[in-house]
Amino acid sequence: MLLHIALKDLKIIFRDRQALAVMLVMPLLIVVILGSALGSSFSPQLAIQRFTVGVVNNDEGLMSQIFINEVLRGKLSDMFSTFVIDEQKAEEMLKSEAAPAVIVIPEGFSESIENGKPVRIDIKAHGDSRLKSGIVRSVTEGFAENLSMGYAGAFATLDTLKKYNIPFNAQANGVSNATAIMGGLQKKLGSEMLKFKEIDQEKQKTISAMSYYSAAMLVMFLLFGANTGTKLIIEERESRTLGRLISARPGKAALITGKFLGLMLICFTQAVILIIFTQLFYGVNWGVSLTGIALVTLSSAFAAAAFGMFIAAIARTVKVADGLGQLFIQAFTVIGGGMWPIYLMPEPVKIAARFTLNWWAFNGYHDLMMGMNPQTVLPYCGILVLMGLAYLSFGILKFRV
Amino acid sequence: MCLIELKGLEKSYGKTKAVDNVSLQIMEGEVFGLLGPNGAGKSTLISMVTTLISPDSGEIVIKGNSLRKKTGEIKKLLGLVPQEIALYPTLTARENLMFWGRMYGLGGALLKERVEEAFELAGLKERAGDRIDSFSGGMKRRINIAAALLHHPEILIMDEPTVGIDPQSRNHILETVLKLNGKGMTVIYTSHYMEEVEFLCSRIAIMDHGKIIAAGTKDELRKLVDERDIINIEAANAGNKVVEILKAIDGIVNASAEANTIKIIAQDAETVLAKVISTLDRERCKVHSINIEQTNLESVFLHLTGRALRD
Repeated sequence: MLLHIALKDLKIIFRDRQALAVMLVMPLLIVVILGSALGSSFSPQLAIQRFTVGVVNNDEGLMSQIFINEVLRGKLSDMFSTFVIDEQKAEEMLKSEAAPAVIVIPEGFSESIENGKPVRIDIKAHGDSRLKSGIVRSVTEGFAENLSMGYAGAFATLDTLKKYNIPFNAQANGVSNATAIMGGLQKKLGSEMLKFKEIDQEKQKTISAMSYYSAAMLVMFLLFGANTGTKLIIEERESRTLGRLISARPGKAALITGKFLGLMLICFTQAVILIIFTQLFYGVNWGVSLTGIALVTLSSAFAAAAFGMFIAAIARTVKVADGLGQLFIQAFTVIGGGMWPIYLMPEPVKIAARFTLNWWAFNGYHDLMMGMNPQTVLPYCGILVLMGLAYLSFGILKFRV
Repeated sequence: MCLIELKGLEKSYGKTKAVDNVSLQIMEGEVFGLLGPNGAGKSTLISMVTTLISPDSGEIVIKGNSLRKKTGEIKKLLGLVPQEIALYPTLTARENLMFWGRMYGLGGALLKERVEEAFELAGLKERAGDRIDSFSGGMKRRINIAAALLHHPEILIMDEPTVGIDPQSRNHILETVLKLNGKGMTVIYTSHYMEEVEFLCSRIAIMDHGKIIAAGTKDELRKLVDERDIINIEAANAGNKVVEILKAIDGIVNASAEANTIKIIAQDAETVLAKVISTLDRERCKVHSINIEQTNLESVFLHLTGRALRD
């Protein structure tokens, strides 16, 4: 019965040409207009200028020295300005936002790598610099992964030499046999050994204006989609159709659940259509994680549908719902970075942005576009669901037939 | 046998008492009329019986069960035809009926069978595939009624089902009500159209300002005005001032004016007519027509409230 109510709402919306124009055509047009007009705001230079990275080196071994001198201050010196500092200074730098991220190399890092043990380098990041800290994290993880892989190869080589009784002893030169083989490999392969995810990073320094606005408009028009569904609820209330539903078999709880499901279904379908269309025709890369996209889309649809129930509860007429919806959605979109990149916004707006559904949903999609994995977007999804629950609670409490 | 019993029902919105201490009994198999002007509290009363709103106090008992305690079971017995067209305009008539059938718990072959039956009853089988928004007001009303009959309810509650429709559709609806009642269905029919209630209903309750001001059979209600005559006069400049002067004439029980029509209840029309005409002449109200009729529900309402039903 719930599903019949939800599917009926979906059918009604998709028969309404005006609603379809608002939900599907408008966002696609606005993406093109904003993407073309504000594309310059998304140049890689602006997105990631060279920035400071602090390194707390608790290891002092060979591997950490290679990482600092050959990677951070070497190959990637055009990207990072690297300072080796202590823990206290690191905290200060993060607090004052002098550095968006600090790399903490643990004690025994080099030894662990040389002995083929798993290693981990911690990244401390400033909350507002997700893009930059993401780059630092990716470079660091890339270094650790490649080094571990290299050493795995070196150990395999040593085992092979041992198996065939071929003598190999480099310890007289003050390095372990594995390190000696790694050194040899590095000389032979040159910079290939330290390429890590650098190429990927170049690609992902920033997303294009088209991608940015595809995500931003998707979120904004999800809310408009929910608001279209909300107006349908109010029309049903005015025509006493909701009352008639209650007088039939479904009780109030079933009716509310059915209407909420309907709104969610409308939003989810709309999001899927927009994602597929922008990927196919605008070349937007929504990321490689289908699970991640599904998670962000579902939680965004949940939050948008809950927002719709909230508007349905406070608006008495379709006109009021329309006005209130537009007011809230446009305000959320501007504050949440849907019109201009959030990093161009003043600090108070950046703080206010976190109170909007748009900011969390957009950042979920943004991170996926940047190549992040589904785990990265879980916090955004969690916040979206929590915000949705708050809206929904109000909507249920004040639901009228 | 008493099918529905309302005991001391009350419902207020703020300081306004929409339903004020209403007690009624509705018998099985009858067409029960609820008559009253707009805002009398009829729809609120209906909303309470159909579980849309809860009464502030009082109890509703249907087939011996308290509605509050056995809501789910009792709902299966009820079919509601709301005053508004509670249908989805962009869906076809068939899609609408299929949806409402599912909402009444029907499915599969039975649902299809009942939908066809409903189209037969509404006389709109040939329009089943058309969208509701392409229908005339009367056709929408007929589908609105058909949707309430899909689950074969024992009690059909019709809230002003003929508002704003053409005479042909109105006649079709009235005939449908009689046909359904003939099959044993109990009907509660609310309207502010006196003629409809008078035509359909065996027993009638008259509501005003949230209260039942009179209830009984048509004959019982007519007796309340002592078989008095009604004089309808179409006259220019008929206003409240003239009505007050007419009321003062000996033998006139009550009088009211709506648009250019004066309605007078008199003990004997012939006795007062000469005085009425001379008064209207003196007050410069040009008389266009005079019509004398027997007591009806409208005159009962006028007698009880001092106002015409459509005030």
